[in-house]
Amino acid sequence: MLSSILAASLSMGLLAVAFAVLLVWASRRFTVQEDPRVELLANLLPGANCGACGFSGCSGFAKAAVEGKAPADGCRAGGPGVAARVAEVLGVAAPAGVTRQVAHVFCAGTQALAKRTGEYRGLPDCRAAELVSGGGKACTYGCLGFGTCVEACPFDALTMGPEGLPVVDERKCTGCGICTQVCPRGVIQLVDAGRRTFVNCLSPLPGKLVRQVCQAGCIACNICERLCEHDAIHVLGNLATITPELCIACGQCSAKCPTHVIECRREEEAGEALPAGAGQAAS
Amino acid sequence: MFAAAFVERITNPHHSGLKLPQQKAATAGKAVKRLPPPERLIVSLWQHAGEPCSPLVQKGDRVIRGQKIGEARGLGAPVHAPICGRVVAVEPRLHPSGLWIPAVVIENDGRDSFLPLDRSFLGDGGSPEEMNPEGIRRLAREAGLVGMGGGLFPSYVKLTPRDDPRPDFLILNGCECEPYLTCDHRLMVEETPTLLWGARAMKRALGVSRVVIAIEDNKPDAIALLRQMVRGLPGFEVRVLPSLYPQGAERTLVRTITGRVVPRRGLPADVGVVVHNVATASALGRALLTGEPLLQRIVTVDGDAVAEPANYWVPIGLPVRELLKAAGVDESALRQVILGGPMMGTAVADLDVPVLKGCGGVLAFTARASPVDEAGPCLRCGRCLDACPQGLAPFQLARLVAAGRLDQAVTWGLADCVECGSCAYSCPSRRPLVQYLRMGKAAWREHPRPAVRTTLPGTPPTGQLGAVSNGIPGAQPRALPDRGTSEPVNQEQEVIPQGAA
Repeated sequence: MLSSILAASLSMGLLAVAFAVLLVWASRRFTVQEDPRVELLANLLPGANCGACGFSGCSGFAKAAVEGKAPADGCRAGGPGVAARVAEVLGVAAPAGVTRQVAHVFCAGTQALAKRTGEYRGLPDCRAAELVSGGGKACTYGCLGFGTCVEACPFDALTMGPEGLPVVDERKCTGCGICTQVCPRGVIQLVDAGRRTFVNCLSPLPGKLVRQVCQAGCIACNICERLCEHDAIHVLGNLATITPELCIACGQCSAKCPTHVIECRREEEAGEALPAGAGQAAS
Repeated sequence: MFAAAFVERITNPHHSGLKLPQQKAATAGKAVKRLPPPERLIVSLWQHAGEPCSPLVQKGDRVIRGQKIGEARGLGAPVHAPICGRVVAVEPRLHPSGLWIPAVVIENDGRDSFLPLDRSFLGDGGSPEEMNPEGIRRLAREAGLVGMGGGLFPSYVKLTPRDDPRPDFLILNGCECEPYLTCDHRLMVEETPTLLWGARAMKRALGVSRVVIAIEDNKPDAIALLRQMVRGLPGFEVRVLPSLYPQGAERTLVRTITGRVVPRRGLPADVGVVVHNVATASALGRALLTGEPLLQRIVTVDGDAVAEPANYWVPIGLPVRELLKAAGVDESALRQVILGGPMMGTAVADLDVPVLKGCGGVLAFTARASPVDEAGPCLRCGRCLDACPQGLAPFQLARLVAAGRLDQAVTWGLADCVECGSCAYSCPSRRPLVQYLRMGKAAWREHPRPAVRTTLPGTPPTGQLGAVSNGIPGAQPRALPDRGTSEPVNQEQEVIPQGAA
């Protein structure tokens, strides 16, 4: 009885020692030299594998950055915070002029305000709906509202609002730009975080036609252009266009816009331009 | 007739396809009706594959019937005024594709003068065999002829023979395999002389030795009539084909008739075959005989919402609403309107869109005939594989498109899909397979995606608009989607074939 227990533990113990020796030898013998910075970088990155940098996931970017194939500020989702830390690890100068960008929905045509021409039946995807007679929305420039961008967002920063337009959560948005790529109408675009004025319409059609299809579109009435004391808003191609560098967000144009298409956020509503640790929300 | 189709079926190994409910009885036996003169027409400047035309008239101008009002830019076909009247607007109007495209709106003034095309360059000979081939192409271009089966590809390009390989076959597509549609059927019965005149001119322009008129066996009267009429015309032949969908798809037709296989991403011209719709041939015949450009076409108006289903001669640019009113449609009961056939046509969201040159049918349905089917999960039953005339695996392509793996989908043949709809029709789970494939094809073609809808006169260049509206104005409109009827044309036709004029 005792001898069999002894024999078993002895033989198992010997086997364990033998394998341990083998494993130690193997790990020394077959070790792969990897730049330790790759792992360091991979841990710095947001980790959502969104692919906006053009490489396959965060580890792909880390590898490329260490090999010098990707710039230090290549991680769009990470923003300036991550760019600075990546530069630090790589031992290069911190990239200047990186501003955090966020997605913005350039359409104000809610279900109540935008005219619908028909009922779309089929694949619930904006890209498919767009191909069928414009997807049922009379305006061919506005948001179709099937939420393709919401599904595509790797950071969960987009939700479909109650009025049929996607809502961007600027705290979660990393500016990776995936939503801008899937939108068949280019309604979502990246803007500098902290920007406070927007013309939420993209229709270059004359005011008369815009009015026929949407109560919230830019009708190119020129009131904003005349009111602006800073030369920051101009009507180009039937569409009011803001020059963000000149705009002081006084709110004059927004207040007088007959279709309320100009959005002007109060200072406290605007997203932070450079929050500490930008882009770390999802890490 | 049926014996001929039967022999064809058992001797030709290339037949395959779906047996669809025909639904043609309501309109096939009735003579084509004329409509009262239209009050106003919306003549779209984009009725062909290529860039929209530039307008030649302004608001306030008077135009007469047959006058050219839009000139093609590059690849394309001019458009003409189908009636005499005053131009009340030249502005973007809603196009059946859902885009805003510049159009010339003409208000009828009730006069009846006509400006025929210049035909002096055709040569002295009276018969098509003696005409100057270059002259025939020039007339086809000037008459604004495009593929009237729905492809809308400029005809003069397809009438220009390539050097290598020299075409030796001309197929006139009178299959009309889409259910409901009978416009080509009626055309073959009522317009036989102009059709054959045009066909002879096409034969002359291409220099081919054989002309095959392909007709499905569900049109016995057209077959009998054409058989009789082509007697004495050397090289002409009428082939009776079984009624299988998509018999009229260009690639299917070439394979069935000649046994040649059009290469992937290629054109019939790559194997020495040219396919034209019978309506296009008839329009060419009319242009040759009377100097009338493409101003009107036969359109089938059918569906359970239509009180008087029939074929109508419709001027190009007639709003769909007017056409439906003339055919006795009660708009309040209307649930769905499809331009083209039920398999390949597209639903329209707005009835004010105009009829285009390639629109063979307007189908109006009530809620009863157009039930909502909820799509279920894929059962992996493989029926779509059996149904696909292109030998693709639609369920797999749909999966890849849904997952965003376009490159892989293209490797699996996404670009070879002709969007005939056979897969979706066969799917027991009612999956919208064609929609997935169309979506994938659009995304693949538009890569990198242009942000654009329409070209508008007077919009500033893109650069000035800055970040707010990246590249909206001035960009290229995307390819005109197939408004198919009986002639599904491969999307790849946007590529100009070699040897194009």
